[in-house]
Amino acid sequence: MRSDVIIVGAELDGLVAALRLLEQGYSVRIFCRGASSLHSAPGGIHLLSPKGASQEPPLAGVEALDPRHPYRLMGLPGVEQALAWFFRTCEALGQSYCPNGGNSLALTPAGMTLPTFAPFRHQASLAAVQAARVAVASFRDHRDFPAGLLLQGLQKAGVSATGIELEAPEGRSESVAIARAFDRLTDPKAYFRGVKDRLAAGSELVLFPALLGLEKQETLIGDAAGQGLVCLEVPTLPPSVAGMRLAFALERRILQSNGLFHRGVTVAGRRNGDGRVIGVTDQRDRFYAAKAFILASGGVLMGGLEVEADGMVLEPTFDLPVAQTAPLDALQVDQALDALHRTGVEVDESLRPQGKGQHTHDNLFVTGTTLGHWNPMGEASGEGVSIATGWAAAEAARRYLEAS
Amino acid sequence: MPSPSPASVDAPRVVVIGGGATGCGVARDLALRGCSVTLIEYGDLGSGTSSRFHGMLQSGARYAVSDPSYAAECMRERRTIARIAPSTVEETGGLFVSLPEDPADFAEAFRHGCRAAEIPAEALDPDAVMAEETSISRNVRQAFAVPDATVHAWRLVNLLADDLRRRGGSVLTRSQVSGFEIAAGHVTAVRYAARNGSEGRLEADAVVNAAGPWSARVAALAGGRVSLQLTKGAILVLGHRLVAKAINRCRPPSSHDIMVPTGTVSLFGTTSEVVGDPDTTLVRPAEIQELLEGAAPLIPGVRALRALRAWAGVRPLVKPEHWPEGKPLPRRHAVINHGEQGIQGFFSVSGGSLTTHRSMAEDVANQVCRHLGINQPCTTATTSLEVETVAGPWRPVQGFQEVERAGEARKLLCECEAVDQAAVAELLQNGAVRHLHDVRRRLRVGFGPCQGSFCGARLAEMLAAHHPDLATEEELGRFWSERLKGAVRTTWGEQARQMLLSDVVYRGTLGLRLDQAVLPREERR
Repeated sequence: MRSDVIIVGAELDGLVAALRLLEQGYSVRIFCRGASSLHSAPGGIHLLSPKGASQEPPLAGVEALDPRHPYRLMGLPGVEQALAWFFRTCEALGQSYCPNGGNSLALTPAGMTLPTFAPFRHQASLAAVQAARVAVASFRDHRDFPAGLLLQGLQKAGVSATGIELEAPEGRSESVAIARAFDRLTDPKAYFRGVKDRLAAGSELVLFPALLGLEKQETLIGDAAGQGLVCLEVPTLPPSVAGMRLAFALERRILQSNGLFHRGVTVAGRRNGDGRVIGVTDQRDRFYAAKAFILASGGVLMGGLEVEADGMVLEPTFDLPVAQTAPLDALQVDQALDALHRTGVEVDESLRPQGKGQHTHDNLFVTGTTLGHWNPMGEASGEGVSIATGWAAAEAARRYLEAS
Repeated sequence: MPSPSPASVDAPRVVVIGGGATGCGVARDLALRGCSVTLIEYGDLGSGTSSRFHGMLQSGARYAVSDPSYAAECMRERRTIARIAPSTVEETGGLFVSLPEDPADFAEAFRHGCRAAEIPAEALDPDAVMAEETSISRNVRQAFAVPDATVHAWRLVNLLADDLRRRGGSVLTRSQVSGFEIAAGHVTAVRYAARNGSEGRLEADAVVNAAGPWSARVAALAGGRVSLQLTKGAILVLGHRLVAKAINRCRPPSSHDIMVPTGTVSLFGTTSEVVGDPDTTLVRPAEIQELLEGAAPLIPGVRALRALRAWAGVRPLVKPEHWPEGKPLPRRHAVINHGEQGIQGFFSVSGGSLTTHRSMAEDVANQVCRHLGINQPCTTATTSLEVETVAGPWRPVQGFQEVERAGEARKLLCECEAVDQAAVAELLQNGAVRHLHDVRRRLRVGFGPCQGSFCGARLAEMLAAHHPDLATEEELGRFWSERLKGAVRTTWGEQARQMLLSDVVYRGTLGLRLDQAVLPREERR
């Protein structure tokens, strides 16, 4: 079973790489153990946040980063090309984002804000609610959206806000079930008319938990607008429908482009030869060959890197050299978190793993959180680095395939 | 016997310092004997040593050989607590297992010791024990069942304090004793500073210092002396109940030889290190390695298990005067009448353990009553602490069973410890609960495998509904960083992933920032 490229991991970076390669006519096989970390992501695209909300392009802060940071390794022009491609692709998939050059302050379910480069289309930001009279909606018995905290945060920020508790369609109370029930609504207009009737007079804007459909959010929000209800969404705690929408949209597109998913599969072994990876095996020792490989295994969070009891960090799939951390248990909590994020595989500028000053394999490229020297939470750069490195790995794999 | 009436207007005034099990026990005892009692505590009730130990209600079997009279006292008190506060006790039972590396002759001495201390110790078939306890070594040579149990210490401390309040006593938390007023050799008042900056004084006819490892410092404020040896013990928290019973090594009591099932987790402990400072609760990396190494003979797969966090407590033992250097100190408590040091009406009690807190309280209360001329017997051993007339035992896994039966998973607030919203709502209605930590301690919210990743925001929302001025960012930040602080010592395997998932929730979703003043003050090493 031979493909042009095998991608290990269905994280955002792996999905981006897969789609980019499929677009260019290569055959792609993706191995993933389970759901991607997009299922826990709040949905907006975080690029970099050197200083909170600012109209300054966040990438202006790249110079201050570690020289080994993925953005600096691949260079700004590549990052910008990758983002442009990504937003264009998502637009075509009905998954629109609103980049406006700088970071806006997206509202969080706890009533705080997150600097976000490109909120998803109907994502609520502080700027959008500041001058409005707002109703904060919550669904009865739904536990993963602390609407009371959001309400309190808005009021503290001087926003005129009230709460309204709604019944979710079909009486659902779990995030994903609520979103699917919205997708199934036979008469969305009637539902939103009912909401409208219950609103306090003068409410101009309703903040919903980001559960208005897994697939049909555009239509649903359009239906609501038709009933005179202006809706924006605020992400929930994980599982996060806002993040899942992106994962599902990309996965659907990959399947339509004849990409192959092997789900629930752990890459258990690899065969090397002649300075290259020749193939990988699954748990049942089935062998899969490819010309190039992309490791998008999700770092420590997703098990793509393993932390041993003695503090050693290992890359189990290809046994790649890893930039180790200081002993974690000797660090302060913030330093320990930072170290767990920053540990990862060392690569050269074409994302090939590097050890002792040279790359370990000609045809292996590493992306996303499996890379070292960056911190998605500390820098608020998770999606940005994933998109950029996924795109760059696809480019590097293409160059390799063309050359060989 | 008629129950003594709540303190009358001219009742003697007693101030009790320290809101752990001992202090709360002393205060309650004196209130039952008709004193007007004020309890003063530096932090939250039960936030010191009473919540930083292995969580056992001990049968005393552990000390049957080394300290027989203390062992017998444990057995008596353990029965008493199970009788007066059944809702705090889980009757897990205990096991003493002999491994090949344990001294072969100890088992016989152990059996004799238990018999002398009247601790039922039944010899079991090692194969049956290994069949039942699947996590422990396959090399058990001998095994004994003893009536060890586990105790929900925070619930016990709060039951004691609730009972104190019902009997007219009052409780001042988050208030630190700053000095004493002494006139003509008698203590007359206690001065204190509250966390909110206010200061106050409490007039007193007698003062009891029950400040655990801090009691030497408190005594010194009055010019009194308490000679303590402080021992730090670190404990490793492992995910899941890996053992059914509390498991001890059958050997002379030493370090890392107990595994205790508590709540939905297991505790392994402890290290033992003499320290000078009662605030030394930071766990060093080497201690974790020491615990893992020490645990390996008893729990062979320990390194592959999921360690959730580690923490340490400081236990005070009283050094009797003229005690020979090097001889192990007695476990039993001691009462110090500072009248002998020229401060009439000032008493200290220290040593002992949570299991024996009631008899500690009785002993010091007897002396206080003698000093005050009160002629009332101690009734704490027979007066129930439970409000409900038929209180059931503590059953940590009961929450899950109830949820399963009722099919009401949607109402759970903390999935890991099966704490439902109703329990939190009840606490918010009844108690003076102001911080996420207060709820955490009382209900064990955030104690399970996810270490507060998902319940923090839910809890903050419920708390904010009661306290609209809640400093949400600070509260969430402290709650999270407190969880991380324990987990960072055990960051490997699945727990490393869990830490990052909590980061995805707190920073990546809720929008918390670590640079805000949310990190706990660094503890001294």
